[in-house]
Amino acid sequence: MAETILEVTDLKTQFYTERGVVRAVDGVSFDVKQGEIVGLVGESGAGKSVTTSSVLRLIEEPGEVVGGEVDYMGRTIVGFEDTGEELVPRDEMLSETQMRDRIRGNEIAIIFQDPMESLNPVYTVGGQVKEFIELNRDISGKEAKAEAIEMLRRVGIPEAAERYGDYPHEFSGGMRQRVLIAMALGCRPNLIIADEPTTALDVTVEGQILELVNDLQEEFGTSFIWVTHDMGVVAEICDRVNVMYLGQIVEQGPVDEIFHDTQHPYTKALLNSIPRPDRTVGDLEPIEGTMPSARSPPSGCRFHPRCPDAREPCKEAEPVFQQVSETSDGTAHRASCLKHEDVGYWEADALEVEVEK
Amino acid sequence: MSAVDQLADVGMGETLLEIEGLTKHFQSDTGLLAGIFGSEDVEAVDDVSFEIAKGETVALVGESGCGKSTLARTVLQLIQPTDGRVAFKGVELTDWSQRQLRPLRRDMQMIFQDPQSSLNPRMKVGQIIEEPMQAHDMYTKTERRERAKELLERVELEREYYNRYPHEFSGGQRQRINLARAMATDPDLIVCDEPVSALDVSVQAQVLNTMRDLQEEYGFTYLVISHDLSVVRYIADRVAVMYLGHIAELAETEELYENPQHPYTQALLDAIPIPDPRSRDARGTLEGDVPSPINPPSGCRFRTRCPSLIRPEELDLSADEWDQVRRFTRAVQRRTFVPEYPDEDEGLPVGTITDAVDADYFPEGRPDGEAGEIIDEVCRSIADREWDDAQELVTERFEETSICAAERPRYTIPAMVGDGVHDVSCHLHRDDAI
Ligand SMILES: Nc1ncnc2c1ncn2[C@@H]1O[C@H](COP(=O)(O)OP(=O)(O)OP(=O)(O)O)[C@@H](O)[C@H]1O
Ligand code: SF4
Ligand code: SF4
Ligand SMILES: [Mg+2]
Repeated sequence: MAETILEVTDLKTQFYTERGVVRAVDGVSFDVKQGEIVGLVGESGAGKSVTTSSVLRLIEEPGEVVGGEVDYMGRTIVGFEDTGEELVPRDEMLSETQMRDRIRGNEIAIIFQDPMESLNPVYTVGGQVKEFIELNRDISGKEAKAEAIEMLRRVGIPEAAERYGDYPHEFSGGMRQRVLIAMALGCRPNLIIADEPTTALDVTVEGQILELVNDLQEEFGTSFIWVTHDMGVVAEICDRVNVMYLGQIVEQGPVDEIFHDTQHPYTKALLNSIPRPDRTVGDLEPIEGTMPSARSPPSGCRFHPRCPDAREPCKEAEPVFQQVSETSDGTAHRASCLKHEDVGYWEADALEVEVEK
Repeated sequence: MSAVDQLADVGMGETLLEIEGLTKHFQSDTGLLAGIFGSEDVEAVDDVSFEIAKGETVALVGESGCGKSTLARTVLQLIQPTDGRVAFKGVELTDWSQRQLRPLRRDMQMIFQDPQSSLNPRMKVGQIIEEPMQAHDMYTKTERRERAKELLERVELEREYYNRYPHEFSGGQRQRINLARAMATDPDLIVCDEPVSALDVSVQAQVLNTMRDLQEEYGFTYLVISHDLSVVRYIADRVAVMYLGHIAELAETEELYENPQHPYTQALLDAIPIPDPRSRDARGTLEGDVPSPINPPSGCRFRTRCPSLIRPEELDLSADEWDQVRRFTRAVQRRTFVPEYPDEDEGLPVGTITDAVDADYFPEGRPDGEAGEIIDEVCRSIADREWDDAQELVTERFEETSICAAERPRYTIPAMVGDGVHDVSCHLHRDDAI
């Protein structure tokens, strides 16, 4: 089996706001293997972006990574030790300089949702790609320029050499997004974290980009963490999937299992609520209510106020995230739901669901 | 007689809205575009016709910039059309001034995409819902208050929300408030511009279901604008697919999704990721980008990207040969075919180019006849590094001589699903049109 390159264990990130502490990421564990596309999926506010920013240590005030481990190929990106009184960063944790020089860009690249924010409007597109490549790889300016043009061509920018000198505003949204991908790929990172890179794009453009990612991943063996709220995109490109709800991963497994042997009621509800392009659906089954605030998550199972299967114990007992079924190739399929535990779920009465629309 | 007095009674299933030849061109003589293109027109919507029956949901679907929102706003006369006519309940909207149309607006309401910004943050929910009733002088004050509360219930919110402010509500709840407001004057037509696209999927489903239930109860007619083909399939009775200001295809929903006939619709449907990892291979990709609406392509606007562009009659080529010529054309146009030129300004011997072209595009040999001659000439231009000439040549000879460039297609064919008809703007159907 492929080597594990990134391992995230019990990661916790909080924001300190006037109205209280937001536990945006509250004990998240997942890993990424070489050459894999791992999905991180969930509704708005589930904590997907905070998770990926935490992995690259890009969390800013008033936020802070407060616990857990992030290990990238033996290097400690996040690591704490307990002094008895408090958690303090361990010595081997990479310094900010090491993160900048050795991890971000050249080992792990990130593509953000809004390409306009990531491209500088006053420099040419090609110049920015070239500079980024030069900065992260040991090659000359001339080589970097050739590589930049080659990458722009590879991501499907028509007349790449001629458009090298264009400014970002002269490119369409889809083209700008492709430029960011060219930038990330040009540095030959081992892992690319893509945060909703196609959400703002039209489906045909999204299709072009997903196809490109598939090709490039095969060619360079790059791994991806693909953040999205779109189950269609997940089904299309991911090898394994992590479903997030309110700061936690509630289900994790190979993509086929997630869709066809769903183990968590939230995942199931999410799948039932989406209209299908490929068939006529009589009635959609929405998930009742909305996701509560991460400031005061519900007791017990965080999904219980909206869960169609909730029973009495779900109000108090916090489910454990654990292996729930054996998959054909031995990859773990985990979920956190009391149905899989011995806490009297099956004997208990159903909870009366009282939801606000 | 005023416009309102002419409003006819329209029964369920009868034509409520009639749109004919509707056109909206914007002048682009200001800003950046003017510098580049001069003051030419942006052809946002061009000669569009269709009808909507009372109680029906018609969806306009298409990608960003295809003109769907402009079309909807022009239908409501929120933007002045450049040409064409719109008749609502028998009244020619284009014949009347904005002021004269005001009283009619109680019968035509609109809800917008962004539930955050479309609700006035300083007004309470109750006021927001009552505003249109007040504007049209409907009911007494007490009646309006009672009606607002009742509407809140109808959209599955609480009567008690009457005294709250919009910021206290989630996106889905705000979209429900918008719905209640749009329903307040008991309109016939509600135009919904991307009603759920700002919402999470699970919440989308709640709002879509409510919209459906309300239609069943009150017989509303919806014109829904959306870029999301899954949402449209769920909510619409008929669907019009737009591309660059034209309607590419219009049919009943089931017919359109099960039997799409326009190459653009087919590409669009192929591109949607299906939420099932077991149907992965089904996805296709459409090449290229949408051209500018300033000087859009002649004839069929999709022709610059169409995988099925019809072979010009004067070129005597087999289907396979034509496919190869098309691939070659695209490579030249997009300059994805790149020979290794020796130095800055030097060209290459034409033989080097033809060898490479043959290997990449014509493994069984270049076609003979006229097409072969054109390809030779293109290769010579590439050898001399005259790319513009090469691009112009393939475009002129392999694209612009096609019927697809010469005539705007408009055909109606019998539907396969159900017994209706199916409008398809594609010359591939020139022989089966009725
Ligand atoms: N700078 C911040 N200050 C305070 N709270 C924050 C901040 N950034 C994020 N949060 C909170 O953290 C939680 C997780 O947010 P996050 O942006 O990770 O969600 P997401 O899953 O990426 O959502 P989306 O799909 O909308 O991008 C939310 O409750 C959010 O309000
Ligand atoms: S633990 Fe209970 S509430 Fe939570 S997902 Fe399982 S059944 Fe639903
Ligand atoms: S008319 Fe021609 S270019 Fe247009 S869709 Fe049909 S085949 Fe394609
Ligand atoms: Mg996010």
